[in-house]
Amino acid sequence: MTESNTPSAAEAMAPDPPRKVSYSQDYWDVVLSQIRRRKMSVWALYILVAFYSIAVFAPFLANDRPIMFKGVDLVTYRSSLRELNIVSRSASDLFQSGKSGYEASTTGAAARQSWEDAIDANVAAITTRVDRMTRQLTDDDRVPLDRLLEQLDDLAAGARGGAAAAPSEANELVDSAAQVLATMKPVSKASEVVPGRTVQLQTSTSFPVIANLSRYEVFFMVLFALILLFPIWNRVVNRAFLGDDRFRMRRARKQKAIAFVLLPLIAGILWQGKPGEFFVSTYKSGLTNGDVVAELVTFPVIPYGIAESNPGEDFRPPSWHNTSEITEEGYYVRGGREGRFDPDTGTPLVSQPVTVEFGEPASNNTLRHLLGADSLGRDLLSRLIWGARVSLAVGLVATVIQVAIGIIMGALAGYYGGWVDLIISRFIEIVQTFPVFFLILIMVAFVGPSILNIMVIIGLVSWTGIARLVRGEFIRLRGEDFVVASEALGVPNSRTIFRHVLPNALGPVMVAATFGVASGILTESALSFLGVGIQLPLPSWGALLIESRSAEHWWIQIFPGLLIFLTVLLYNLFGEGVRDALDPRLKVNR
Amino acid sequence: MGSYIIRRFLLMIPTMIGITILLFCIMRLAPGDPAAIASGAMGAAGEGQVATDSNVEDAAAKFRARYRLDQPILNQYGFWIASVAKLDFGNEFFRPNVKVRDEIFKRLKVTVPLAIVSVVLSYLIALPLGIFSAVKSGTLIDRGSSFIVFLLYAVPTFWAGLMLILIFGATGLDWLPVLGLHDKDADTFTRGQYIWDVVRHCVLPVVCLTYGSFAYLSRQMRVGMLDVIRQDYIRTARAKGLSERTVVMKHALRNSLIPVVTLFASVLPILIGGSVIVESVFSIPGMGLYAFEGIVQRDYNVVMATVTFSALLTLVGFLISDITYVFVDPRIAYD
Repeated sequence: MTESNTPSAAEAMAPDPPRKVSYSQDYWDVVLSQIRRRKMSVWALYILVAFYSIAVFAPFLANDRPIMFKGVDLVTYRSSLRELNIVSRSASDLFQSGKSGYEASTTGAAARQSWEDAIDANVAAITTRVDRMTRQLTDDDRVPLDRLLEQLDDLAAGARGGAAAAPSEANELVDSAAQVLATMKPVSKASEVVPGRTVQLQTSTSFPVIANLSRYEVFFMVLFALILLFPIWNRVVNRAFLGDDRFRMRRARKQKAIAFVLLPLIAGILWQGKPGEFFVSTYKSGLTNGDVVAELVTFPVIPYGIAESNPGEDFRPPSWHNTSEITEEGYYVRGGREGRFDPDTGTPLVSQPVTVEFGEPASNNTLRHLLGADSLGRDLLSRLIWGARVSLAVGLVATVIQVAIGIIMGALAGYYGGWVDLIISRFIEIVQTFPVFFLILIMVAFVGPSILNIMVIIGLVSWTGIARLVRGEFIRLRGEDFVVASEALGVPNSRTIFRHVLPNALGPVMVAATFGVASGILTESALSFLGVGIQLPLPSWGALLIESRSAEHWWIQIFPGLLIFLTVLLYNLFGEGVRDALDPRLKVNR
Repeated sequence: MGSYIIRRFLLMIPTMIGITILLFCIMRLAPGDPAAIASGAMGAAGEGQVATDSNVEDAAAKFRARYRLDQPILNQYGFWIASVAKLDFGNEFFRPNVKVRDEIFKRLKVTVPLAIVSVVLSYLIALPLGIFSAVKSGTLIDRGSSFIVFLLYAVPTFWAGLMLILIFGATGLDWLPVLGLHDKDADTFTRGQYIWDVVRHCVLPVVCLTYGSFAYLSRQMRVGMLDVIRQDYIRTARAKGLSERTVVMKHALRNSLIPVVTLFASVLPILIGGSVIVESVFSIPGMGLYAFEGIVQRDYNVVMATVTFSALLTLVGFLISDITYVFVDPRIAYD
């Protein structure tokens, strides 16, 4: 509890020693310095930021793709080669049908692309595969692929005019692709080359994890890099550009806040990754069986992907636990595992040998599955790291929604009063009488459990508390001189509300929001526990927890729950600190 | 006082109507069709083979007609209100000969005693603990108990249930049964054995229901007590030489109880919401589980009835806490 660290009353009353005579503290300076005094809250915040960073940087922490790869990738080349044939055939069909033919054939289809989109999609399908191949080829070997791209450009340019391509022209594309397939089979060594049939792949360096990032991931990664490095760059900016001048630093706050949003946004928009090549990568199995030949390869700390199943390790206990030890044939050395022997025949049921792929710890290594594995032998630690994305995001977004609605409704009711207040207050009362969890359950079950739905529903249902707070604050501030003055000056209502009254009412809202995130996380996990929560492809912690209800699989029930508990606890700790800092009257621990 | 209670009862009516309208709209406007679920299941079961399209359509139409799902939403609501006025909540969609009202009363017999026991328990533990740690404010004991209460505050209910099962169930210490309310051969038990069996089954669910409200209440009690202890009249009482015991028990306690007693109203909805989870963790056939099953099957009648009942319980809880205000604080008078 925070009280062990909260200063005594006398200490709290003493003013901060002035650092510079010219510098007076404004509201946010006071709030920040007050929060900073509460060591427990500050630590809670640090750990929460660490949690969020782990979620954001999950691809670099737990992945079955290498972070850096230098070598020859026969698998990717081979699959691109095969697919090139298929996608060029479909592109050729499209070009032959022409705009009118395309539109005639797809009328009534549920998800109809426009003609231009269809062209773009087909062109992209071919060019990405050609790209993946040329990356590993010498300039000489690239010639047939370049020719293919030229033909494609010509056809696409013609097609954008709307005309149908001549069958002979379009078929050339298919022919070139077929020729590529026939003559460009990959080999990894120069001695294996058969001229006219195979080509030698060149060693190339790639960064598969980075290449698979989506725009959103890049946005959040840049954002978190800014947050994590804030103490450094803030100091640099203050010293270099603002000359350590308190006033200029205070005025620069807005610019810094804008940088926090703008830089990640720009990075996300400019990002040119190629997301979603494969859900499960082929690198590890390729490296194990020799299809991928590496000179240098770096795997993440936890070399397991979120959806990567490990045959023979279904429901394997955490590898540091003694029941987890396994023989080479895949038998458990000690008992305690469900269904070890068939009751009728007495034959062991689990005897599939564990395959240890490239980059993974050995079968009985303590680090193999630190938190155990689930029903398909997927590494629980890796899934928890990825699952953090859903669980942590749900609480935050739901809170943003409920704060937005709550502020607007509360402001309207409190500022205007009268019948507006009457209707809104009555509505709040009705919603508050509802057993809230029932309401959320009903809405989620009936509307469908997508991550967005759950965020919106939790937000839509739980704004009433904040609305009441804001309403109260507005009623209190309504008669203050500065509000009356702003009205007398003819300032528009919206400006009075948002610029003059609202900033003064924000304190309690911030406190409620902090606790709201915690309760959002709890609600989501409870929904997932009941089986109506977020499911595939990204599971939340609550969904991970119910992969087994059997008490035999204790690790599956303990660890996700522990994470939920910890996160909620940290938010509560932080919330206490914020509340004590913002409103000492409400302080619980004195 | 009497007229106040009557007025409050009358005020409950518009709120209840508002709740039912809101609920009705949410359910009917959401996608998903119970008729399709029912007719699909019934068609296949009835003929022992995959029903043809027209059969399914037929069955669905019949189903809609039987439950008036083919009529405009306003009419449906009208019918519903009319039958509720006759205390009839209709039949279950998927077990057409079971009356929802009877089933709910059966389930309430399980849920309400559990809720009452856990409310009483949480008050019984929380009040002394809150008072004690407020009086001993700042000592190690106070810090320790506050810390534990703070931890309990963050424990998800379902996880607490699962952990209790892990620890006390057959795989752990094997002290207590973990599923259901009775042993499987409870029929053969004598009366004493039967009661003992039920009590043993109820221990873990009650713990699970209690710890949350207990943590909440003891925190509030501590704060309330601390507030009162700083008041002038307490200093006066001490100054005139009263024993510490009299000061705390006679002067401080009564005043600090006021806010905590009224918290009864806010504990009730937590319990009702929590009952869904607790009952599904421990497979207890109570109202929470009934509501959840209704929601999953899209059984409108069951959902409407269970939510109406729990909203009613909540409102009654509010009313009771307002009335208890009068008893604990003579300054407040309603007329």
